[in-house]
Amino acid sequence: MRVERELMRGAGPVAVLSLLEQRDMYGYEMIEALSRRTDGVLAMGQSTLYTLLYNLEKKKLVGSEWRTAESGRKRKYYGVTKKGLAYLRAQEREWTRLVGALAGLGLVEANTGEG
Amino acid sequence: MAGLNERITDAERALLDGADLPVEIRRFLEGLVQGTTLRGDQRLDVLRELVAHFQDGLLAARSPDELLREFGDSGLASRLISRARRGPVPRGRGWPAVLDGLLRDARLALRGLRRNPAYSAIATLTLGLGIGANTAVFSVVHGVLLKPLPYPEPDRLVALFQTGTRGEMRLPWSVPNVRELEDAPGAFASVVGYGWRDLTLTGVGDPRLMNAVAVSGSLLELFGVRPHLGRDIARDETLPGGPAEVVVSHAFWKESLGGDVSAVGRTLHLSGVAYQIVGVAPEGFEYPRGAEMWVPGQWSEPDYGRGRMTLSVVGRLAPGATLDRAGAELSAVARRLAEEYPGANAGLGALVMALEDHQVGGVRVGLMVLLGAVAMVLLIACVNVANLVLVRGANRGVEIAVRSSLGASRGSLLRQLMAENLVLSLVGATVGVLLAVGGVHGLHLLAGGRIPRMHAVSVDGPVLVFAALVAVAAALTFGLVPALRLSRASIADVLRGASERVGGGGGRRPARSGLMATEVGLSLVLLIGAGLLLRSFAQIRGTELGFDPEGVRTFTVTLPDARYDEERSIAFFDALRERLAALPGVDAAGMAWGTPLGSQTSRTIVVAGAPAPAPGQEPLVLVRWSSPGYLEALRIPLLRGRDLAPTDRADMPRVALVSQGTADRYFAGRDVIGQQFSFDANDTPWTVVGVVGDVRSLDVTDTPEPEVYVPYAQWSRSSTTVMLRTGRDVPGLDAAVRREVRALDPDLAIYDVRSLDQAVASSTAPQRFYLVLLGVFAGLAVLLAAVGLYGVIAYLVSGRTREIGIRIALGAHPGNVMRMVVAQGARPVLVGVLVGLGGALAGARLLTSLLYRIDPWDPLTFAGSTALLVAVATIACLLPARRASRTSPTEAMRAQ
Repeated sequence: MRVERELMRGAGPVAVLSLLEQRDMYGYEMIEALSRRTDGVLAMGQSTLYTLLYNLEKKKLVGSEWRTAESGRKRKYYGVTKKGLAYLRAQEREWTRLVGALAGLGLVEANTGEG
Repeated sequence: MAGLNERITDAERALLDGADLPVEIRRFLEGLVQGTTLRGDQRLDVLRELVAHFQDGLLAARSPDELLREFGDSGLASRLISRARRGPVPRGRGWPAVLDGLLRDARLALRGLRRNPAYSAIATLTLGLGIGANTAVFSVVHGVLLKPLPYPEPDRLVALFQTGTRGEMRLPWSVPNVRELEDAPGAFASVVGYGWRDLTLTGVGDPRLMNAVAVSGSLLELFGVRPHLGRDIARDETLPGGPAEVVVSHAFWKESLGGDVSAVGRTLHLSGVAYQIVGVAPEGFEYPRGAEMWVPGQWSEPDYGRGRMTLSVVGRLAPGATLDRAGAELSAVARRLAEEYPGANAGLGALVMALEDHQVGGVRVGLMVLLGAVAMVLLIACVNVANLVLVRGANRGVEIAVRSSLGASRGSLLRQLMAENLVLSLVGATVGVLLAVGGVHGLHLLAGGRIPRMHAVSVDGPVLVFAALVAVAAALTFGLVPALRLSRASIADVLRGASERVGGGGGRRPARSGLMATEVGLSLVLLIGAGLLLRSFAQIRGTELGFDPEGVRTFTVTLPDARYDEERSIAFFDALRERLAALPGVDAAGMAWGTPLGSQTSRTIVVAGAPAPAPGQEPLVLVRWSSPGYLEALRIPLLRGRDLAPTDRADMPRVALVSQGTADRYFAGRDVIGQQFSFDANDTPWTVVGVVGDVRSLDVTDTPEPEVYVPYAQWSRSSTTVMLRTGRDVPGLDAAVRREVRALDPDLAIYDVRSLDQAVASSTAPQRFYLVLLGVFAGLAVLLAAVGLYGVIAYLVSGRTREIGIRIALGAHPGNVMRMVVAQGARPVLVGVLVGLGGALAGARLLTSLLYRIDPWDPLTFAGSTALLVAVATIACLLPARRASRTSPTEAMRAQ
């Protein structure tokens, strides 16, 4: 099941920022992680991830730098900024509240575990 | 993928080559980046990241197809990525996007120029002067030379002339000859002869002499225009005994008849005859120029015989007929006429030329020279601005380098720099167009009605397009080289302190020297051109006219034939002369048919006792009927014999005065007093009673023509020009003159009231037109060049402050320092002078037709202009040199 585009606009940044909170990652790595961890829910058209990253970078929520891997290949790594972390915390509260409200209506089951 | 961006750049290709991707992925990526609106490093960065993405996918053992499918549509990706990286992308691709980019560049450019008001003002003004002068001159060239005549199929309109045996190229036609032309059309769809006719309008306000034209046929129809009201004059009506009818101009209809739609059928009283209005010409139709009404010619023999050449002729070529064919046919007609009527037509040829060439042929060379001259002024202006741009560029090296290192590609920097130049140039063009609008007004005054078709000159659409094109060309001329050089700036250069080199400062002396030499050379060419015209004009002004126009007031009066027979006319002129001579302040009063340099009549004469000349070789003279007092009024010297006297009446023996030239040429070797001549074989002979000085009657720049003077009582004419010598300004003279004329006949019109020196000045108006304009352009050129030289030298000196300070500290004499600085300017000035002299030597030939009694290679002019320019250049170099020599060493150390 794919999340509708409008919902994606809200969820995408949160998903990306929470991934980057754990460690710096490069594009393809994030795509794989997102599709694995969200069971395909966030397996958006992959090009959208880059758009998302560029937008976050413009808002200074993430930063990027080119790093050379052991293999000698260059990849562009993204990391969350201070501003990004604050934004993420605020968003998480919003989402939790939303999910709580939806659960209260019996529309979704509150998900406790990671997955 | 419709890319609105540049193709794949070298850096991008290298990246893709090194990435070793499957071909379909590579194609996909190329299309994707080309579809973005990103540029330069930004685009390269995105591409590098996406390359890494696909490499990672391939490493994870995904197939290219799978990766591409999962990545999504490349068009959508291009758009989203563009937006994310640089803000919203214009919806429409292609032109809207380009336009958007241009607007952004223009905004940035304007901001940049506002930050630097002094630079912007000087550059804009310099360009404004250059572009304005070009626009003004082009508006003249466009109006006079390029605009087609305002009639349908104007290229089929022609002017027909007879050519004379003495090399006269454009003689008029006699009425019977015009009738023959009408009867043998051939290559001509139609021909119409016409001549001015003096008709005085009475009954509509004050009596007024009309600019009326007698025609031999349907003139409106020939020009392809339809009457606004009523009809045209028909050919049959122009024969003797035809109806008294008139077609009036649109302007006359509006102003004098109040635009009355029922004007057709009304009656106008012209010189005592009732003319019925049969038509109103369309708005703007005015041929010949100034015509207010057209009447049927109705010329009758013997007044208008074959020997009296009075009519101008226009024609319209038949469809498909060429000018060559028309010329050949016309020559055949002329040959036939010469055979059938050798008395009047022997030796006469015929000539046909495009009407437009006839009207403007005389000014083409002059206008082209002026256009060339203003182009040089603009070039000098561009050189000056290029210098400014280079100087400013030197100070901007850091800014450019920083932007370059921040990812601006060279292309985008170049675009931005050129946008600035273009904005500068367009603002300059706006200033220039405003200057040109004022300038064109001045040109109208300066032309004094002597430049044909000036009325068609205005700053209109095509002229504005020209100004815009000139502005773009100027921007390329002054901006491209500095922009190319600047856009190469790198942060490394700047850090090495090489902004000088980057901006083309001190390190670029050869380029600057070249610019200076160019300025000096162009200015010298213009200065020499203006100098030649000035010397030529001085020659014209210094020419002995043979009469003294200072302090002479003239006016013209015409008697209507209907009320004045010969006897009454003579009585009127007698009475008028007496009354005017008695006016207070009038030293001498004379009358004649026309003034020198005004209207002329020429006739052939038969000298009694001289061998018969070959046909076509008869002596030709100007004939001026005049009154006693004419010589005195104009101060034409009486060399021998006596003046015309009041006693030379119609019933007395015929007498005449001849000019010295007439005596020398046609009465050679005999005492001319008492000799006789006649105007044709049947004429009663005239006896020469006096010899007078030669007068330049035709043209200031011509040699005086042989001329004879006959008493007005013996050669009656219905029109006279009165000349009153007053010596000083007499207040109320014109009013007194009008009073005297009205006392004699209240229905007479007085016209052409003016000073004779005014009339003489207007005959040299074209020369003055060229002289003033070329003079202004040369002055402008020298000024711009001086400012340019000063600016460059001052700039170079400022770059050497430290060095100069050290020299002075080490004991260099201020004089030596000055000499060193001046020498820096001297070399380019010298090169410029040599180039300019070469250019002037080669180009002076173009001026030949505009010069009078001055050799185009006049050494005095060349030497004088060079000296003037060198002097100005020296001053321009001396000022910064003086400042340099006063540099204090401590100050110099602080510089940098």
